[in-house]
Amino acid sequence: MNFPRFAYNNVKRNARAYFAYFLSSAFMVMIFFSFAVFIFHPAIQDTEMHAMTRAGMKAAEYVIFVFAFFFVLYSISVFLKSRNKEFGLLLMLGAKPSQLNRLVFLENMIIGAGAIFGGIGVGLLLSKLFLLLASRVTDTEELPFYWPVRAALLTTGAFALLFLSISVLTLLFVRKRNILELIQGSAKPKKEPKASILLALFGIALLTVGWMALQRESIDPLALFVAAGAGIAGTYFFYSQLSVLFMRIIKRNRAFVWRRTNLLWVSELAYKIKDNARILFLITVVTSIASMSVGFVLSINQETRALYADNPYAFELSVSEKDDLEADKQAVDNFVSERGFDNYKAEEVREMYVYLQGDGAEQIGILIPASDYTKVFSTWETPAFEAGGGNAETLLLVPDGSTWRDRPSAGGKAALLGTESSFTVSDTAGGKTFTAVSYAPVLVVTDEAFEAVKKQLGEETHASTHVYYTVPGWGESDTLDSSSKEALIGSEMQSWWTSDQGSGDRPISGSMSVRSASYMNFKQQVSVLGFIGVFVALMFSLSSASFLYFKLHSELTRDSQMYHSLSKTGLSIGEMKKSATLQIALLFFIPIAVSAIQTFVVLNPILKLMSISNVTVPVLTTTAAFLAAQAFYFFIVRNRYLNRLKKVMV
Amino acid sequence: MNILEASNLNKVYPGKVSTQALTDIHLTIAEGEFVGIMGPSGSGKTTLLNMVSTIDTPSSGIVKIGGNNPYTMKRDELAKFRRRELGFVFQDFNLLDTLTVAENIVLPLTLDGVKLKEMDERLKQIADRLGISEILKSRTYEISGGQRQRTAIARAVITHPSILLADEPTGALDSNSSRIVMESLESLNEHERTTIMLVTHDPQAASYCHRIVFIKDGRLAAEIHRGESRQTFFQKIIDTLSFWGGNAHELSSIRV
Repeated sequence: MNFPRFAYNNVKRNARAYFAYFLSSAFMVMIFFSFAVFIFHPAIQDTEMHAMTRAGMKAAEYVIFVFAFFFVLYSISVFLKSRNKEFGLLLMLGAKPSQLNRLVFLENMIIGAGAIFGGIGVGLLLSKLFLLLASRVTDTEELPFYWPVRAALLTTGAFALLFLSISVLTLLFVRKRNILELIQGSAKPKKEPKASILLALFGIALLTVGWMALQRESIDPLALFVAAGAGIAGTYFFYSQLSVLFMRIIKRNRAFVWRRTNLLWVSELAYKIKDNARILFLITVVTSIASMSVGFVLSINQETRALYADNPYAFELSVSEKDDLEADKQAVDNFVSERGFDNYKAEEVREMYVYLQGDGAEQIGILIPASDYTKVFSTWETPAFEAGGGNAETLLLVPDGSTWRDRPSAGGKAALLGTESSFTVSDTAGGKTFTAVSYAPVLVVTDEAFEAVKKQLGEETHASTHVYYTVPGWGESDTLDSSSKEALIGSEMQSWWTSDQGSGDRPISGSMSVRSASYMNFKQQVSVLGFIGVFVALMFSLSSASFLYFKLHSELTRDSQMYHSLSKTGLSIGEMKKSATLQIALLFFIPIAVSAIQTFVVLNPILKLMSISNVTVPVLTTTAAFLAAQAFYFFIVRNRYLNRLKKVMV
Repeated sequence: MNILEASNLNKVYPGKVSTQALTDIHLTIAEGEFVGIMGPSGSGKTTLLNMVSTIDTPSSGIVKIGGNNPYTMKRDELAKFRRRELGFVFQDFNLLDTLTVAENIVLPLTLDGVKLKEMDERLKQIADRLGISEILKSRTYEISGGQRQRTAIARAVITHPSILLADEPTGALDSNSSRIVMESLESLNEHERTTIMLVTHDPQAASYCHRIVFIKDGRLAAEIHRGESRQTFFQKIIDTLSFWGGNAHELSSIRV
């Protein structure tokens, strides 16, 4: 029997011991691979969101890889620790340390190769399944299955490198131990970790810096980078320092600790806290990234829905040339009546683009005369304009979530660039309906003032007339069915008015904005993004659950010894369950709670910047989904764990 | 009053070759007694102890502890019964190294929901009795083997059990620590009237008992009682061992 043969037999005949390690490695390969399948998917590479989504997916792939590295490293260190006795025996029988190193190295490579092939095989199935599911859910055409050669190559390469470097790293674990220590193994108890106040304060400072970076008025990539770095490092200190301090404080309260099973789980937690802190940290970071991606997608999704639900107008015609207005209106009228809709309502509003004086950049604004405004204000759900102050007064309407920071409040001044006109703001308003109608702030002024500005701007006037159409029966529900009349006619209308662009033969000279068409278009783009976000989240949540499972699995031997001896002295099964469940529950649910807070803190300012104001609902939805998934894993893992422990109870 | 009554105990381990581990054992221990069980390796000492400690069920026969038959109880009831009525001391201490000495001792009380004040009182009393008051705040890996075993004894008796079951309590200790541990047990027996059943190989440890029951090949072989002097009793134990043990190497484990 030569040496590689020995290593091979060792793995083959000791399959049970290697199985957990193999499984966790194969699992990470599977996740990495299914993800790569998407990155290289031809249908995704062709989409419009291509550049942006690819960057996001690549970032996620990196995170998965780093996570996989730590995961495999952790698994192998635990695995090797459990085999100390065997190594001690081999050394006692006269194996040279270099032979031992070779054994570990070879074993690792055997398991690594198995994990890569197994992971890719299962990943192939999983990605096919997910492609199928995703297309059902997101209402897009099914992404076709393809043979992901590049993804397989990338996965094989990346993980071959990973196993190689980890095999080299593990040589450091096995080294420098004497035989006695190895044979006695983990009999030596670990010291309880100490926390340092300074490091704890440093952690708090880091978290504060991360938070501050996000609270600035404009968020640039640098600020995001600082926030991410400080946030992740701060989270690490939060767990490694604050948790130790926290356990200290709890332990001081004897009335609490010395009660029922509290003594058991509190001391166990305190004992394992350093290991736990690292694991909680990793899982929190992964869960946070996942929930941020989902929360982000959900917010955009919600915004899409608002695009339809809040917009009162079925379509909108905007014409700049005065002479073309009547012809365009007639063309639209013909188009609509041909399709059996002549009971629509049209509201004409004259508008003019102006630039408003600001501190920094100029702010674009829209000037509307009062006589036209009276036709629409009830639909826009904005207040009426009463020109008590005459021509110098204006009603300022600002869309929700506008980035215009130095906007005047009631009583303030609004000056128009290129004119001598300056208005006193009588009142300001906004609202979601107005936000859906107009993307820019609107200044309502008297008709005289409107004309005066027009005259002053002269040649540079950007005046146009907008015609807002409402069709009875359209837009009454909150969502648009793709087979509804509005959707069908909307898409026809969209292709009608955009036909023959550039040639002289256009159906209208102005431009149109069709509610259903822009909604459908946006939805299509968002659904690809949403699909990816959900996939990232699913993968991350699965991998963190498997990580936790592995951790518990690795502690099972020690824990069953402990519960066995405790049960001899009269620990009942119910008490064992209580104590073990609590410890497992803390591991599973603390990261969810912390990452919910982190997601909220991070997403809030970023989405505000994107003019998306309602963050609470998406974040809560995401957290609830993660909580549900985690609860599901929790019950599975807990039951398996408790069943194993039950067997050792006498 | 009899604390332990075992009658007609038989234990058969089934299998391809079934093993008769215990045959027709009768054993009675009265309140306040200090009884030793001795016998060569594989004689069935530990099997008997497991029956008494309700960890293993007899194939036939009855065990009654304080008048109760633990084998008719449900699992959770049984756990409570073990916690309240039985005290255990093991060869390898079975202390939790995640807990301090004091926490290890009060663990059974906390599980029973005893009030903090009462726990403190009982802890102080038992720690004084066993001479471990100084180390209550230490962790179990910071103290000596003898101290660990006394901690285990304190944990076993803090619930005031009907009977203290000790399985080779001196097996992992040096002679000095063994002596201190056995003196602790003796003092508990004398002053607190704790009933003790001790399983041991060690004649030196056994010589602290009032009565020793010898088992060989799963059957009761002999019973000897202690007179006035421990030294004579020790000699008697050696004689009985060499008579019943048959082989001289059985004496090799003797430490004097």
